[in-house]
Amino acid sequence: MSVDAFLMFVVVAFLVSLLFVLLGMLLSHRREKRTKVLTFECGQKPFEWPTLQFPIQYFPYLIIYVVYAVIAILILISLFYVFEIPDALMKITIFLAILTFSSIFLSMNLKRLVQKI
Amino acid sequence: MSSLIFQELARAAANFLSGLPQPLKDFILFLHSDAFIKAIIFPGLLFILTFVMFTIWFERKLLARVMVRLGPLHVGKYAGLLQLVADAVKLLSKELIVPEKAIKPLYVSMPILCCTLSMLTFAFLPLGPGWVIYPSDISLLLVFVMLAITPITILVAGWASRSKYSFIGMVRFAFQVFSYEVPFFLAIAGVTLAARSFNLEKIVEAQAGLPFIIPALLGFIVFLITAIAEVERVPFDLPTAEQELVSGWQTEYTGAYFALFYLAAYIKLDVIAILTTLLFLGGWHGPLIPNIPESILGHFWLILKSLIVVFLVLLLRGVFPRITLDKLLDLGWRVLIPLSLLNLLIVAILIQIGLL
Repeated sequence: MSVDAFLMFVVVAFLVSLLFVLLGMLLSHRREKRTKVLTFECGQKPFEWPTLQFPIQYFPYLIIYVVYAVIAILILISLFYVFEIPDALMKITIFLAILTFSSIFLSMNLKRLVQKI
Repeated sequence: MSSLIFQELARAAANFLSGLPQPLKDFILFLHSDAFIKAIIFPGLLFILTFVMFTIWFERKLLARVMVRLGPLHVGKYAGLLQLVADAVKLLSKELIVPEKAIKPLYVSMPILCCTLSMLTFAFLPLGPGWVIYPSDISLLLVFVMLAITPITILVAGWASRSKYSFIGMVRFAFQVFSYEVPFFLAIAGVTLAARSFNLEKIVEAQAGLPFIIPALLGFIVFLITAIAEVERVPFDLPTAEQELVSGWQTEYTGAYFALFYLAAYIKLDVIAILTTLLFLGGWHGPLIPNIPESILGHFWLILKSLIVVFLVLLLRGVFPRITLDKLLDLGWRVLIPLSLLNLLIVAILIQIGLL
């Protein structure tokens, strides 16, 4: 029964979103004009824009992201371990303590890291 | 006395049903079924749309009060309650323009996908004991998955528009979301460690005595800040900063497509408010109130608490200015992640001592 409700909800959520677009197509008027389909440009003539630009000064954050995403997954797996075996909590606490103080140390040093690169 | 009346009513209803033709009877029974009520009425569609409409009306009214204006006033009988319906009709009657440089299939499909996915998050949120569309043992992880998938549609939409404003907004959004997802996740991990479950219903049941906001106060602060950043509210609305980037990643969208993105943003805001209530504020637990029957008391407390959270989040827009991107990233990586890890450590130590 519950799966039934879920399926119905998925279908209804999709249909409502689709209904918005269909209603928009039905209710709106259409008048073709060259300037309408141009890219938005604050009243100026649109000029070329290189498609892929990346602010390099934030690159260190990307590296930190890769590290911390893995750490977050590790913590999650260790949480499952605690649910299964409650005695393992001591080891997890030590792991968390090391992680916490190392991250605090890292965050104190990170302020200089951005300017360096 | 009242039970007699109910019996009479039930008999009358049974008589009425037996007199009807079979297809109509099946239809009435279908309307009465558990699946229909859950999917369409209470935790489902109608509740979501009503809640979102109320949120948007409340935001406009509240911001108006903050700025000493009147806000929506004329549409609807009282205080512009139907202003949103008028706005929806106006947006739907606008022309649907697809820019010539845009990648059309992606550009057209992303608003629909974004709205659907953010609405699907509600399927895993219990709004009362047993009142959940899809009961699951890992519902918290499922909610997190939905909250992590929705930004991807926004990234694709910003990229497929092929406009420089959309592109800058999209890059900002990517930085913001990916840097705030990690502390968001770690703050949730603290709650799951305290409740020893990923099931949202069990997490709420574990807070019957003491809401988790007290042992995990740091986690609550981190969670609220990251959640506000996830739904792009002020002071973290860099991706859609009107003053700098026209409208950020949704610059090129008009009419119904824009309405869908608008709707999705407010659905996400409501999801965040309800999730905060469930995780930290004790969910449907609350003191008895004499005039309210017990069957709706839980829902009443849950909705009241989430409305308070919505109020707090909306009030930020009237109070704070926007912060810059480097400060935002600094806050995320240098303050929030150590704080969330510290919160996790505190919770683990509290369990170790035996206080939780």
